[in-house]
Amino acid sequence: MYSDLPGYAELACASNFTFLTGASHPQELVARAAELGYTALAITDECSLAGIVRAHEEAQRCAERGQPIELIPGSLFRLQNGSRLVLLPEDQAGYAQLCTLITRGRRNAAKGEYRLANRDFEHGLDHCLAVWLPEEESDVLGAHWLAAHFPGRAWLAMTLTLGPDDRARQARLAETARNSGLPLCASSDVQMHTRPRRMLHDLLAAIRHRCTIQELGYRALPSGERHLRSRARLAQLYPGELLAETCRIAERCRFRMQQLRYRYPREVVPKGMDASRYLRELTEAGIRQRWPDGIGAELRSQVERELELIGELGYESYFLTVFDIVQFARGEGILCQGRGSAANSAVCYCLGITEVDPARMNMLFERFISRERDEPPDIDVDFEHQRREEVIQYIYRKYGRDRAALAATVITYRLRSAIRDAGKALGFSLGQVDQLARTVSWWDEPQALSERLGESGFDPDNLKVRQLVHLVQCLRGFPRHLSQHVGGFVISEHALASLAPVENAAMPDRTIIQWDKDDLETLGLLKVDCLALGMLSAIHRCLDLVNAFHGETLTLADIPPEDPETYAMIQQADTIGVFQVESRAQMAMLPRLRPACFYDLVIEVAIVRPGPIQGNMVHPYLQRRRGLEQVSYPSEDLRMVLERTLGVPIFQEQVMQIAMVAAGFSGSEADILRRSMAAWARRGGLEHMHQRLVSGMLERGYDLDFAEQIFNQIKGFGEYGFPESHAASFALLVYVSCWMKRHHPAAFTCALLNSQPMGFYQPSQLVQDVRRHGVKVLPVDVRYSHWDCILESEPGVTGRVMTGEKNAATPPGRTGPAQIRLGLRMVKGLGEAAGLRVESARKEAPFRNNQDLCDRAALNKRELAVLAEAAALRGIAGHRHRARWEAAAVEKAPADLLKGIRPMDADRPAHPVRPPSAVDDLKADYAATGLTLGKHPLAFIRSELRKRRVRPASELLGLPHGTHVRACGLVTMRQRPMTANGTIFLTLEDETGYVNAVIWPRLWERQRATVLGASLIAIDGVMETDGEVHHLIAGRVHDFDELAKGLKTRSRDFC
Amino acid sequence: MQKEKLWLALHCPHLALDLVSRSDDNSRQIPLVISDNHKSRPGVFDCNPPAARAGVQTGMPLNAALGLQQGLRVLHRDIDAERHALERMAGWCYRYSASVSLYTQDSSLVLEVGASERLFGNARELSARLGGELLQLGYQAHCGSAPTVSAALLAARHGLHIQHRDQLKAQLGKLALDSIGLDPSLAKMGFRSLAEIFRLPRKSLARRMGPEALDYLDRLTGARPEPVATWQPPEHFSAAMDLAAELNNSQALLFPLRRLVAEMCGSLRARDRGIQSLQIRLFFDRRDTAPQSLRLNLQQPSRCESHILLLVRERLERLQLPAPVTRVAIKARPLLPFDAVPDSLFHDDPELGAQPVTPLLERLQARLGIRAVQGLKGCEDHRPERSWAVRELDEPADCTAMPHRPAWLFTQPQRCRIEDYELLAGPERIEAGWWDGHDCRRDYFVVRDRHGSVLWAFCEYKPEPGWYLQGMFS
Repeated sequence: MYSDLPGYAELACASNFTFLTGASHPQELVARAAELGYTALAITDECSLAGIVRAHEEAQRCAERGQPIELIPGSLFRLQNGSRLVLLPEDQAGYAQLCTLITRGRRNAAKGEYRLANRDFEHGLDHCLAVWLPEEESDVLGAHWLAAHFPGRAWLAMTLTLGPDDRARQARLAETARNSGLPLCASSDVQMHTRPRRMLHDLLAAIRHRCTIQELGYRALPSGERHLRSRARLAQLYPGELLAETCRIAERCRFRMQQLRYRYPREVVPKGMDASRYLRELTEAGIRQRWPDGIGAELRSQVERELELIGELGYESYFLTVFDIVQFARGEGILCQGRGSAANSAVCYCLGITEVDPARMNMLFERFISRERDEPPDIDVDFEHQRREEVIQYIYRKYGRDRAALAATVITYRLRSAIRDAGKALGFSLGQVDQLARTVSWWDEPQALSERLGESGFDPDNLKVRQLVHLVQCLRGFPRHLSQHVGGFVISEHALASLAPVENAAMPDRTIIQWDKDDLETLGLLKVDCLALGMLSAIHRCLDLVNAFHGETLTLADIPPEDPETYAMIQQADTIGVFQVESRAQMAMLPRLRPACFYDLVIEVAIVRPGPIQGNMVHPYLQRRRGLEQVSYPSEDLRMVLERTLGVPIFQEQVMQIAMVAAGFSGSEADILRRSMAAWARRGGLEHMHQRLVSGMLERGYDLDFAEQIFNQIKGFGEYGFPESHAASFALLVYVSCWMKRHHPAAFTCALLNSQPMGFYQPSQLVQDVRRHGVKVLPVDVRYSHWDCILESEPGVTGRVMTGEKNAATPPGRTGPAQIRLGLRMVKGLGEAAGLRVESARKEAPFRNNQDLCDRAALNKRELAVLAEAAALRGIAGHRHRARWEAAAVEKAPADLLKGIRPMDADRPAHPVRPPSAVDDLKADYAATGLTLGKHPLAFIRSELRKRRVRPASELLGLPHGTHVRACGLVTMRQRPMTANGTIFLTLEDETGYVNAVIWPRLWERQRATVLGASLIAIDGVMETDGEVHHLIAGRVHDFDELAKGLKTRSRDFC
Repeated sequence: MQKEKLWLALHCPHLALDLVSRSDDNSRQIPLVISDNHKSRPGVFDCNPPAARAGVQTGMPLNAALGLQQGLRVLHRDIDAERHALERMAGWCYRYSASVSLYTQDSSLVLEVGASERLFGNARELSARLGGELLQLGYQAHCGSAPTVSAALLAARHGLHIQHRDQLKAQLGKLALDSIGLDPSLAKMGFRSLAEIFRLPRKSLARRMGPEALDYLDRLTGARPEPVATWQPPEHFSAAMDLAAELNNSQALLFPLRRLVAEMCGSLRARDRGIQSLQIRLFFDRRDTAPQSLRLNLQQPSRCESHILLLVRERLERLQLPAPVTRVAIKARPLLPFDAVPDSLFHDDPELGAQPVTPLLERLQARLGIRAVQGLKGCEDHRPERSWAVRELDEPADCTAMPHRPAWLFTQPQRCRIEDYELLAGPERIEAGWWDGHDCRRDYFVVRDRHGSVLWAFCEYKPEPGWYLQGMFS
C-alpha cells in the first residue's frame, strides 16, 4: 500500500529519555514508524542512549509482526551557538566513538547534565555521520565548520513543521546549503509519535519550566506537527530528493544494537588457563572440602550436568567473577551469601557462593539456568550491611573505573508523582494537589476514582479534572531521570565507554551506565548484584558475641541443620526479631503451616507474599498440607511442576513453567512474561499477556478458573516477585537466625539491638521479648555500658566482648547466664564518637562524678544532659532529676589545665531536688532511649482498665473462639496491606503481651480519627481462634488516650 | 511619685483562623486547617472545631490530617496578613491608649492602661470591653494585665489580672512550667511551677541557664526594665481579606466589606481622622481577569460607618462581577483632619493630583468612567486573539513581539469566502488552548484582497470549521 510513496528515514527523533521533553516512549516511536512504513528510524535522545535498548526490543517485535524497520542508535547534542547536531554511528567503531563522546560530556558535568564544547566534536568522530539542525537558517559559518570537520559525512536538515513562513525558511536553508556545500535532507525533528501527544508535550514543558501550562506561552510548541507524519504527508511537504537523501544516510548507518558484543573480564582466570578448566578445578576443590568423605553419585552427576550446561552457554567467567568477589569478602571476614537463579546450584555450593546444600533440597539446576529460555544466569550476593562499601571499593580497585560501573535505575513517574506534577502544571493549588494525591489508591478503577474525587471536593466532569485524569495516565511510567541501581555492577573486559555511555550518579565517586537491568538482560550484558543485608550484620555480630562470651569458635558452618527445638519454636510463632518470618502476617501463618524441615521454610518465606495471596493459593495449600483436601494436579503434565508444593503454584518459577507447559509459551515468551511481571506495576501492560495465557490454557483443556487464578498470581508477583531460588537462600538465613534466637537469645537480641534500624520491631519490643524469654536486661549506665550493647555475666564483667582484647580478669569458661547490658548507642542524641570517648576514658579509671566524666570524656553540656535524661548517670550523680540538675552546672574545662583540681560541685540546691515519680521515669525512659526496663505503661493504669472491663492480652489467648471481649493496649503497629482490601491490622501491646486486631474498612472509615490517631486504644470485639492463631475482630474502637495522658509511645505505621 | 504603669495584653490564639472565618461565616461549619512548614514538612498550625472533632491536632503532619478527614480544607498560613491584622487591631486600640506595641511572634498586642484608667475603667473592665469589640470584628482575643510587659503577655494567655508589682511572684508562681515555654530542661530537673524557680538561689540558676532565660525571668518580675517599641499609626488605612469561599454575587461582598469598613472607622475614630475617598479593589479567581477598582468619593471627610456602608452598598448594586471574587481590599489615603473643608468633586482631587500620569488621561477617565480609557499589553499565547489584553494605565505593557504577525487584529475573527482572496504565504499551523477549554486547530495564510490590502486569514478545523479573517498587515 505504501509502494508508490517515496521511502523515508527519520533521523532526528527524541523519545521520553530526553527527559521532560520527548512525549513518547521509544517503543511507541519505533512501533509507529514501522506502522507508517518508514525505512529507518534513528532514536536520538539528547546526549544519551538510555532509551535505545527499549527501542531495539520493539524493533525486533516489529520484525516479528512483519513490519520490519531499521533502528539506528544516535544522539543529539546542543552546540555552543544553540544549534543542534545529531550524530549517527556508521559502524561499531562509530558507536564506540559516540559512547565515548556522551561519556565525556556527562562525566564533565553534574548528574543529569552534560558539557561539551564545539571542539569536542572536531576530533574522534570519524566513524559518525552528522545531521545538523541549525538555529538560524542562514548560519553559513556554522555550516562551514561542520563541513570542514565531517567531510562527506554531514548534512543540513530541512525541518518543515508548518511554522510561520516555511517557504522562506526553505529558501534560506537551500541558500546555506549551496554556500557551504552541505547536502540537504528532510527531517521532522520529532518529539512525539502521534499528534494527540501535544497535550502531554505541553504538560512536560510546563513541568520542565516549573510553571503552569497556561504560563508556558510561547515556550509551548505552536502545533502538534512534530510527530511521525505519514509518508503521504511528507511527500506533499518535501521535495522528493530530500526524502530520498534520508534513506541514503540510513543506508550508510550499518551499526545495529544486536552487533554489540560483551566480553567478560579476563583476569578472573589465571594466565595460561581457560575459564572452563579453572572453574572445573575450583569446583573439584570445593567438592573435596564440602564432602571430605566423597561425593554421592547423584550429586556428582548433578555437578557434571551443571558444568556441562555452564560450558555450553559460556557462563564460566560469570561464575568465576562472582567467586572472586565472594572470595574477597571471605578473606576480609565479611559474611555474604548468594541467591538468585544460578546461586542455588551445586556448583555455587562448591564455590562457596551459597551455603544452601543441594542435598538438603531437591532442586533442579535447569530450573535456574535454562537452555531454551535464553536468560542469563542471575546471582545476587548479599553482604553485611555496613561492610558492603568495602566490596564495592574492591571491585572498582580491581577492574578500574573505566571497566566497572553500576547499572542505572530508571526513575519513572509513579501515580503519586504524576498526580503531583500534572496537578501543579494544570494550575491546581498545592492544597488541592495534596488532596488529589490522596486518591491514589483508586486510580485503577475509574468508577471509584470519580466517586473519590467527588468526595474530596472535585467535580469529576469538570474539564480540568478530566484533563488531569487523562494526562496522569499518560505520564505514568514516563522516565524522569536515571539513578543508580542498588548494587548491580557491570564489569567488562574492555572500557565500558565503548559499550555504553557512562555518567555520574548523585553519590560522589559512583558512576552508572545509561542502561537499567532489563536493558542489560536484553543485550546479554552480565551484572553482579552486590546488595546490603542487615540480617547478615546481625548474624555476624551474634557469632562474635557468643564466641567472646563462651570462649567458643562458632561459625555458620557449625550450626546444626534441622534442629528440632528450633522448628518447635518456629511452629509456635515465637519469632520476634528473626529474619523474614517475624512479620505479623508471617507469624499468623507459622502455626498453620507448622514448618518442620528446611524446605517448609522455603515455602513459608514465599507464601506470605502478594503473589500467592492474590492468586488465592494460600488456603488450598494449607488445606492440602493438613490433609483436609486431596492433593491433585490440573493435569499430568503439571505434576512435575507442582509436586513439591502439593499441586499449588507458589513460586515465580512455577508460574512461568505453567505458562510454558500449560499455555504453550515458548521459552522466550516465558522470559518476556517474567520481565513484564516485574515491570507491569511501573508501566502497566500485562493485558496482552492475559489474553495469550488464558486462551493458551483453555486450548489445552484447563478450566477458566485455574487460568484466571494463575493470571492473578502473576499480577501479584508484579512488584514483589518471589522466586524459589531467592526463597531458598532467604530460608537459610531464617533458619540460622531462628537457631540463634532459640539457643543464644541474649546474644541474638544484643546483636539485633546493635544492628538497628532493621527488621519489623523496635528495640522496645525486642527487649520485652527477650525478657519474656528469661534474659535479664540491664540499663544504660556510664559505669558499665559500652557504645554497643554487650553481654555481661555480672556488672562490669564482660570479657573479650566487642573489643577482642584479652582481659586477664575474666576467667575462661564462665558459668553465669548471659545478661544484656544496653549500650550508649541506645541513648538518643548521643553521637558514636562521644560514646566511644566515654568507653575509653572509663578504662583508665572509673568516673568520680559528672565533672570528672565530662572532663575526661570531653563531653559537652548537651551530651551530658542526654546521658542524664537516659538515667545513665545514676551511679555517679543519683536519680534523673538530680543528674540533670548537676549536669546543667558542669563547666567545660579549658583543655587539660584544670584537670583533677576542680572543686566538687559546691552549690547543691538549698532544698533537695524532687525525685522523679515512676511515671516520670517511664516517660523519660521512652523519650531518651525508646524503651523502659521498668513497669510497662499499662501496668500503671491496670486498675483503671479493670474498672472498664478490659482484659489483659495474656488472658485472651485462652478464650474460646467467638468470645466477646474488650482489650486495650498501646498501638505498636498499624498496617494496611494492599492485599487486604483496605482492612487495617492493629497490634496492641500491654504488660502481658500482644493482641492482634483486625479492623474492617467499614469500621475504620467510621472511626477513622481513633483508629489512625489514638495511641492507646481499647477494642470491643470477638476473638477468632484458629489453632494457635488468635485475632480480635473489632466491633468498636475507643480512644483511651485520656487515661494515659503523657504515657506516650510511638507506633510504627505502615499505612 | 509617678503612678505605676499597668499593661494590658491581648493575645489572639487563633489569629490565622480568625482571618479566614471573619470573611466567611460558613467556614466555621467546615473542617479547616491552617498549615505551615515545620522543618520543611507541611504541618497543622491550627485547626477549627469541626476539624478538631475529626481528630486533627495542631502539630501533626498535614498528610496525617488529610488522612483523617475527607474534604478537609487547607489554607497556608499568611504571616504578613497576621501582622497587618495586628496592626489594624493596634489602630483600633489606639483610642484607649497612646502607647500600643505589637508582639507579632506572640500574636499579641500590649497597651499601657494605667494612665487611662479613669477614662475607661480598670483593666478588667477594659478587657471585657475590648474583647467584645474585637469579637465583633471577628477576632478572638484573650486579655490579661500586669505591671510588666512580659508578665502581661503571660497573663493574657492565662486570663490573669495582676495589679501590683508585689503580687507578681505570687500570681505568676502558680503557673505550671510547661505552659510558659521557659528552658524545657527545668522540667526535667523535677521543677513543676514558676514559684519553684523563683525560690532558687540566683547563682545556682545562673550556672544552669542561658542568659536569655535569666533575662526573661528578670523582666517578668520587673527586676530589669523592658524596652517597649511603641507602635506608630500610619497616615493611611489599608486592609484586605481573602475570602474563604469564592463569592459570585456582588451583594454577598457586603459581609466582608462591612467588617473592613467597621475596622477602618474604629481606627479613624481612635485617631480623630476622617476620609474623603475610599478605594475598593476586587480580585478574581481567574488569572486573566484583572482586579477591579471601585472608587467612592465623599462630599466631605467622614468616619461614619453607616454612611460609608450605604455608599458601598449602592456602588455594589450597580456592579456586574466578571468572575467569582477571591479577595477584597480597601484603602483610604490620606487620612484628613476630621473637620477639614470638603473639596469639590473633580477639582484638585488630592489622589489624582498626586499621580505623575498626564492629567488629560486622568480627567478623561474621571469624566468618561475608568473603563473608557485603557492601554494594551501583550500576553504569551499562540492564539492571536489571546496574545493581547487590556491593561490599566498604571500597569506595565510588557509585550513580546511576534514577527510575521499583523499589528492590527480584529476584535472578532470574521467569516469569509476564501475564493475572494489570493493566498500569498502559508500555511502556519496553530494548535493551542486545550488547557482553558478553547482548544483550536487552524492553518494561517497571508492573503490579498481585490483592493490590494494584505490580510491575515485562517482555516479553522476545530472547534468551528471554516475560513476567517483575523487581521490586517499595515
